[in-house]
Amino acid sequence: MTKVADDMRLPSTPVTMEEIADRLDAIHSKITTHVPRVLDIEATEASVSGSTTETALYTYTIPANTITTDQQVRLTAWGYSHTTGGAGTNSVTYRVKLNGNTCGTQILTIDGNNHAWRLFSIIQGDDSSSAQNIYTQFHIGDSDSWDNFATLTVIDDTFIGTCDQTVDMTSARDLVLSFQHSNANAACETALRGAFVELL
Amino acid sequence: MAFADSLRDPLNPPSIDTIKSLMDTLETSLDTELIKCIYANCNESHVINTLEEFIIAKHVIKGGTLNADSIIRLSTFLTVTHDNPFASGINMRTQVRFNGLNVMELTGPTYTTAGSYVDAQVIAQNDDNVAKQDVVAFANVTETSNIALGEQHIVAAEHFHNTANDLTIDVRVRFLTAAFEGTSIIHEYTFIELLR
Repeated sequence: MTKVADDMRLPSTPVTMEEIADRLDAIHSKITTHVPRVLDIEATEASVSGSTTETALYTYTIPANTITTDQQVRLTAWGYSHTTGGAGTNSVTYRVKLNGNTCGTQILTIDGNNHAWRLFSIIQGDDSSSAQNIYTQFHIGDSDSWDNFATLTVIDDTFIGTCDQTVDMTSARDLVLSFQHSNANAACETALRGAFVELL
Repeated sequence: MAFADSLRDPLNPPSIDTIKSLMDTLETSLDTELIKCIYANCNESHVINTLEEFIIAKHVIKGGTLNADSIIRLSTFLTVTHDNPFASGINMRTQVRFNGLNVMELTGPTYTTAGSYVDAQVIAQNDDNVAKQDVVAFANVTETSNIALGEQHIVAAEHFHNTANDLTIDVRVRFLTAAFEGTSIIHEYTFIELLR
């Protein structure tokens, strides 16, 4: 059976170390730039409560030159928000940020317990390493859509937004998902339960 | 600096161990970072005239495949039609189950002769151990001819399946109110990705 490296097995043409290095570099380049893969998985749950300060619940540093011309990175995240026990109305502002610039934001009114939410954000190089198109989709469920796995609940709100950014992605840049409450009551909580970033 | 530059230093000829180390790094990347499709099925047509549950797609993830922090993503898409002009509509339940327990259940809306699409996605992430998962499920339902009638649903929850053992995943449907001659479901696709 022919194998991919059979040409390196011919005794009549000894292989040089330079050739081996070239082949390994080519494989490495394909893995890191051409193959859809997971760049990061958030393993630790995070939450914010009892505070009106904007709080980053997920940060991933996109390596330099990951998004140059037409490459895409997709952030997926989910969790829940709730306002319990007479805490009153709470608004939650979520923000997706690239290098500190807000590129997706929405204010949500949380009027009860356990609203599940899910977010997609796609950052795409716009024919340049210093221009990006960003698309964000955010869904939040009705009350009790968290931990009520028997039945899906109707979406409470759906937000879709796009924006352009001009970040120089030849340097490493932070991709951040943050949340900010309007109500400092400790019963107002937003939790991140899962997040990951894919290179598409 | 290129990945394999350590092999190019003429003053320090590389050892076999150096080459092996680079190859190990590449293999680790292939094993841990690449997104793998572990199940795919598509384009099956089913005529269902009973009220019995019908399993559209099923896959067993072998025990030990999923590690701490592993993520799987299931995507499924169905077309539901019936051609009984005397029926005002039918109700159908769509479920995704892990080891027989629901992680997603969508009941309704009322499916009409216009035909409807069901588009659902389930993401499950093992927690810091292999016996607990954070799961989020999302579904869209819309008439084939009128996206304005679409509904969207979401649910998220913790589940407790020990993925050191086999994890059986299935997508199943059941008609709840009536089953008509001519009721059919086209299983457009189901696929499961292993993200890590």
